[in-house]
Amino acid sequence: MKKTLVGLLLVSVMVFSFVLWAGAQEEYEIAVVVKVAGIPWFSRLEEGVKQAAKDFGVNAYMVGPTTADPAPQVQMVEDLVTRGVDAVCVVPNDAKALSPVFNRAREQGIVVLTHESPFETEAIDWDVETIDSVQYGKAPVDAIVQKLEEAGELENYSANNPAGFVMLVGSLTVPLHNFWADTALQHATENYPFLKEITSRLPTAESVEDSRAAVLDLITTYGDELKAVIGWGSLGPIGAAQAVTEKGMEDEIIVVGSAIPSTVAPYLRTGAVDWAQLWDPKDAGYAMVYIAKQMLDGEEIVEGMEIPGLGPISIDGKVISVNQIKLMRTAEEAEALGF
Amino acid sequence: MKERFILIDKRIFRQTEFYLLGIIAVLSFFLTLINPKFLTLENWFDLLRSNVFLGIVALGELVVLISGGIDVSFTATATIAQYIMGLIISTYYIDNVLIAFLIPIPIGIALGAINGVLVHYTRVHPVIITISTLNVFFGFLMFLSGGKWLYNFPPSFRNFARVQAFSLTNPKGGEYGFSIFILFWIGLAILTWVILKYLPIGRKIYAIGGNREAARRAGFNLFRIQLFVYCFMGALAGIASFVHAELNQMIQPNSLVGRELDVLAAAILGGASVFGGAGSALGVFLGVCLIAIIKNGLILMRAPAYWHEVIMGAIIVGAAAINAYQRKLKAKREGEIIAQ
Repeated sequence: MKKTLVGLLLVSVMVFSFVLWAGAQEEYEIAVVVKVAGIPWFSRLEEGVKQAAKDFGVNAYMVGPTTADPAPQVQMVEDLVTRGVDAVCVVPNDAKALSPVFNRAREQGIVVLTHESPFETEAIDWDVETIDSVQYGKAPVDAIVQKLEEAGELENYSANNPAGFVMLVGSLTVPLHNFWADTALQHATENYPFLKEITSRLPTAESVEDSRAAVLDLITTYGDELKAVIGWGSLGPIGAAQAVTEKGMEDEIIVVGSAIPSTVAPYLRTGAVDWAQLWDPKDAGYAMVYIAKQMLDGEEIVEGMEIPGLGPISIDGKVISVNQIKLMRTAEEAEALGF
Repeated sequence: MKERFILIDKRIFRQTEFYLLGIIAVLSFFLTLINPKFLTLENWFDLLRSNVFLGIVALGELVVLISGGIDVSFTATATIAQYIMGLIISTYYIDNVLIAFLIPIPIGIALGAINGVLVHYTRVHPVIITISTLNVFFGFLMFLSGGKWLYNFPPSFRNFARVQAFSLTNPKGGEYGFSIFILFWIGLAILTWVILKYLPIGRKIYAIGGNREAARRAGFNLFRIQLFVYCFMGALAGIASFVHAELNQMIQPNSLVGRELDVLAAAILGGASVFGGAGSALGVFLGVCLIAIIKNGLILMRAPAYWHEVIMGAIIVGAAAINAYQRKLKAKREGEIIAQ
């Protein structure tokens, strides 16, 4: 009996102190859920989240499942919503799978933001992008044309004798990659009739090995017809660069696309990769936490609002974007980005 | 004499290897018609080199399958082996390929031994054991490495990727060659064949896969055989991981895990049975070649990427069906013999 009483007392003290402690935490709790934890890309994003937590005085942190699957991510968001955080910022593996839990979160007054998901905005408050997706899609095509011009080869090509290019995407179902690829294709067809996509996009760009093998096969198949490769996933250009290096075709084939600066720098130096672009995930983490904080403070999100260090935002539907495309035209430019 | 000749002849027709060669010949014929570049040595050398990883681990998987087991943890084993190798050679800047090559093998063997011991002593189905160890190994690696990628290896490691057994020049003046890694693959295929066919341990592996209880009663040391099988798989995963790191010049903790099914498919396509006791090194070699040709051929045929998966899936189902049909025929034949 005495033991039970002591036990009860202890428990109630614990509960009480926990309530006190929780009550003392007046700062907002902002949870950022990424596709998969523990990979360099999202570790970089976490730096931005931590920076923003410090700058804006909020309790912001990053979590993510161990595999990039939709199910564990949905589970994770559900747990956070049940726990009653103030905002969830998600980089979705599958935006459709998340929409029920997003709806539930918003019913409870939780702010819901996403990143890298500008097409599935029904169930969320805002999607935050650190690039202008249309420009991001067009830029590699312009880079190819510029490289052709620099090599003095531009006049060799015409609509009847086009320079062929191929695109590598992460998978045929990644909406953003395919949006960029569509934009690039449209841009090329409309403005550069001497460029031609010689075969439909290949889903290899999340793997160096697959991209390398695919580009080797493409070189065999198309020979001189193949002038350029655009990789939309960050490993596509690396794999393509290895293939062209193996064939000694660094000067014949132009490789451009999305790539992580520290990874692509050696290839930019040898000329196997000719041009690369990306955004800094740190900016994305920072921007999401900032927008969440503004919304929790009751500020209205309006066109032209300034995100500290990232410039004014533009708004299109439910998509907030700042344009922070990082260009890597040389190895030095890539190294200067520092991630 | 004549009769005997006919007997051998008939038996060849019943072998998986024969069907595989036939399919490969027919496919090659059509692919060459569509794109004459298919039948160039350059294309074949590229094709073989791109599939060395798959080819080597499929040999290991074959041995496990013959013994009546299965191993799906080899991707994690290979990843850990190559990751530790990458860490060591880039941290201490070890500019020696031989040392780099020797690091992953004992790691693979050690992890394989863990599987072997667990499979033998727990008596839980090896699928369960190896799925668990896959997760444990991979989880540890992700936790300890933080998923960091490794690149920028010492020059000798980079240069070794370009070593060729011999090189040729194509009509346009470009150089191409027979990569040293293809020799690794062929060498290991021959080793596996010799072990399975001529060494006592090889015959014992077939025996425990064919009928475990009979093998046990015959006095075979099951533990030693199983330990050998899983260690062999581990060693091959280690060598394959070295080749993989060489070819990609980058080590990512998450690039291999998830490819288990490709390897199982290649082994089963090559005639290995998931029920144990059947399969050969040549068959698995041809199985990997067939998968490689199909992938290569789809790009050469200029088929849209949407079709790649469909056709791969269809071919694996087809191969499994042929296998099952052959088994049925065999059972029927045996039934007839008994009836006689």
